[in-house]
Amino acid sequence: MAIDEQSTAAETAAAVPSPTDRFAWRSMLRIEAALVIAIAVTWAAFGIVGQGFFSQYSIFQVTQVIASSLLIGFAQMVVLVTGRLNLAVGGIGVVCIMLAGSLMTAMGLPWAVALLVSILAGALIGAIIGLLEANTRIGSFVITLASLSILTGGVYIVTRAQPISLPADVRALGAAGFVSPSVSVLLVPALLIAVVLWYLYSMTPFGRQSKAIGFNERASSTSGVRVKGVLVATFMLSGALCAIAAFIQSVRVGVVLPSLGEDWVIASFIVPVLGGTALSGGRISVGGAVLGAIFLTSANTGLISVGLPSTWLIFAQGAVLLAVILIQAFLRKRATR
Amino acid sequence: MKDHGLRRILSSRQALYILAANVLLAFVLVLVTPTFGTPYNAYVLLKATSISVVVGLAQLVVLSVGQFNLSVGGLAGLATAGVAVAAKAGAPLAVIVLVALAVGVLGGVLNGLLVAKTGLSGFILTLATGGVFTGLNYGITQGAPTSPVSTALEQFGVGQVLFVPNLFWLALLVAAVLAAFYRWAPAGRAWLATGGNAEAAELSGVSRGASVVGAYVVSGALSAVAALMVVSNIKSAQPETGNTWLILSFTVPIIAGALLSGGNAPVFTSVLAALLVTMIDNGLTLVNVDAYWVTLLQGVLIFIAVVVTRSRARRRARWGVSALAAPSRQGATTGSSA
Repeated sequence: MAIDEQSTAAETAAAVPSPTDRFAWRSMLRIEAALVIAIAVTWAAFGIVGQGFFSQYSIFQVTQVIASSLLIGFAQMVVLVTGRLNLAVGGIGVVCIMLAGSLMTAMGLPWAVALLVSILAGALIGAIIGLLEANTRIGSFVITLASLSILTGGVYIVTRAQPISLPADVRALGAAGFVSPSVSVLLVPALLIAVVLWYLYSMTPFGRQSKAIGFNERASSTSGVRVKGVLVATFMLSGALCAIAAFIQSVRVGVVLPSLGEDWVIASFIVPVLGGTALSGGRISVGGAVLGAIFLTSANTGLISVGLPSTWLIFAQGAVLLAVILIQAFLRKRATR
Repeated sequence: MKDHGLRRILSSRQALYILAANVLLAFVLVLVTPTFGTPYNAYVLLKATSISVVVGLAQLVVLSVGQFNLSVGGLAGLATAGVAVAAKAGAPLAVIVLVALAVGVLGGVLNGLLVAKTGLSGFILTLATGGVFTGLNYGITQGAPTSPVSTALEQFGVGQVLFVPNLFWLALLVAAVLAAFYRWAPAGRAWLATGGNAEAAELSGVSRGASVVGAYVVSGALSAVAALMVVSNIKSAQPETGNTWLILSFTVPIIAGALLSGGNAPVFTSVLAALLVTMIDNGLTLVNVDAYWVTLLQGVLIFIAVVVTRSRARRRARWGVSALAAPSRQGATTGSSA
C-alpha cells in the first residue's frame, strides 16, 4: 500500500483489533464528539447570522446533499478500511448512472429495475478492480487511477457527452419529502445504508476481517483471513455504493450529466476522514461519516447563507476542511498519549 | 550503477521501451497524417510536452520521498493568480517571475511543514491545501482571466533556439538540474534514502522532515514554473490553470516507472513519458479522433507501463539481485534509475 500513515500501533497489535482497544475507541469518541460540537456551533452561528439557513427550502436542499455526499463517502470508506483507496469512484458512478439513464429513457424500464441493473454493473466493475488489486502488486492507487481514466473516457466516447433527462416519475422523487416536506426522501435510503454498513462492520466476520486486513495484512492472512476474497468483495461493495450515489445525485439534479463524478474524488475522502476513518486502514466509523457529511453540508450551505461571494466560497470550504483535519490530528495525538 | 550519463539512461529498460513507443508512434503518425511531421506541429507538440514534463516532475520529486502532492494544480493556479496581480500592477518580467516562484515556494513550505510536523499523510493534507490554494486563486482573481501579462514573457514562449522551442529547453534544463541533484547532491541522496526506507535513513543520520519539506518546496516551485509556462504559451493568466493536472501529474511519473512508495526518481524517463502522453493527445487530435479517447488511452497506457515495470522487477527478483530488499521497498536498492 502506497500510503503510509504512521501506524505504530498496527505493527505490534494483534491481527483482529479487539473491541476493547481503548486508544482507538477514545480517539474515535473524541472525534465524534468534536463533530457534534462543530455541527451545533455551525447551526447556531448560521441560524443567527445567515439568511434563511433554517428555511424549509434550505433544509430540504441540505438533506438532499447530505444523502448523496454520504453515499459517495461510503464508497470510499469501505475501501479505506482495508488500507486501499479508490480514485475511480466518480468513473464508476458516471458509467452506472449513464447505463441506468439509458435503460430508463431508451428502453422504458421502470426506475427500480434500472437502478438494480446499474448497481450490479457497479459491483461488476468493482469486482474487476478488486481482482486486479488482489492478484497483482500494482497497487490500488495506480489501478484505480488508470480505471478512472478508462471509465470517464469510455463514458464520453459512448454517450458523445449528451446528457439524459430523467423521466417525470424519477424527477418527482427528487422533489418528494419524507414525513415532513423539508426532509428529502433521498435521505431515507442513505441512512438505511448507513445502518446496514454499521451492522456489517461492527457485527459480522466480513467487517472484522476487513478491519484486520487494514490493520495488519500479513498477520490477518496468517491467522486465516481470506484476504483476496475480502478485497474483491470490498471493491464490489464500493462499486455498488457508487451506483446508488450516482442515482441519488442525478435524481436530485433531475438530469444525468456525463460530467457527474468529476468532483467526487475529494468529497469521497473528506467525508470518511472527517469522521475518523483512517487512511492507513483498520479503523472505520460509519457514525462519524454521517456526522462528517452533516457538518460539511451545513458549513457549505451556511457560508452561502451569510452572503459570502461565490468566488471566495471555495477558499472558505478548503480552509474549514484544513482546520478540521488539523484539529482532529491534535485530538488524536492527545488521545493516544 | 557504474554507468554514466546517456549510457545509464539507455540502460534503463523502462526508458528504452518508452523511447521505442515514442519513435513508433511518431512514425505511424507521420505515415497516417499529412500534418504531424510538419515543423509547426513539432513546435506545438514540444511546447505542450514541456508543460507536461514540469507538471510530472513536480509530482515526481514528492513521490521520491514517499509522499503525494495533490495540490500541484491548485498551487499552479495560485501562482497564476500571483502573475495576474503583478501584471495588473505593471510589474516587469523579473518581478512577475519572482512573485510566481515565491507563491510556489511558500505553498510548498506550508505543505511540507504540515506533513512533517503533523505526521498525517501528505495525501489528505495536500487534498485540503489544494482546495485552499484554488480558493485563494478564485477569490483573488474573481475567476476572471488577465491579459496581456508581459510581452517579454510572451516572446519567450513564442521563441525557439536551434528549431527547439524555448519552453522545451527550459523543461530540459529543469530535468537536467533535478537529475544532477539526485545523482550528486547529498540532499538528493537523502531524499531517495527517505523515500526508500525512512526509518533506516533516520538511523543513518538523514532527517526525514528536512527531506519532506525540501521535496514539497521544490514541487511548489516547479508548479509555479509550469504555471509561468502556461501563461507564456497562451498569453493570458487563466484562473483555470492547473485544474486538470491531478491525473497528468501522476500519469507521467508512473509511466516512467516511479515507485509510489518512494526511493527512485526517473527524471529523464519522465521527460520521455511526458512526450509520449502529449504525442498521443496531439496525434489523436490530428487524425480527428474524439478527444475523449485520449483520457481512455492514458488509463490503458498506465496499465501497460506498470505491467512492464512489474514484470521487470519480478525477473530481477528471480535473478536474486534484489533478493535482500523487502518486496515493497525495491526502490531502496534500485536507487535513481535514470
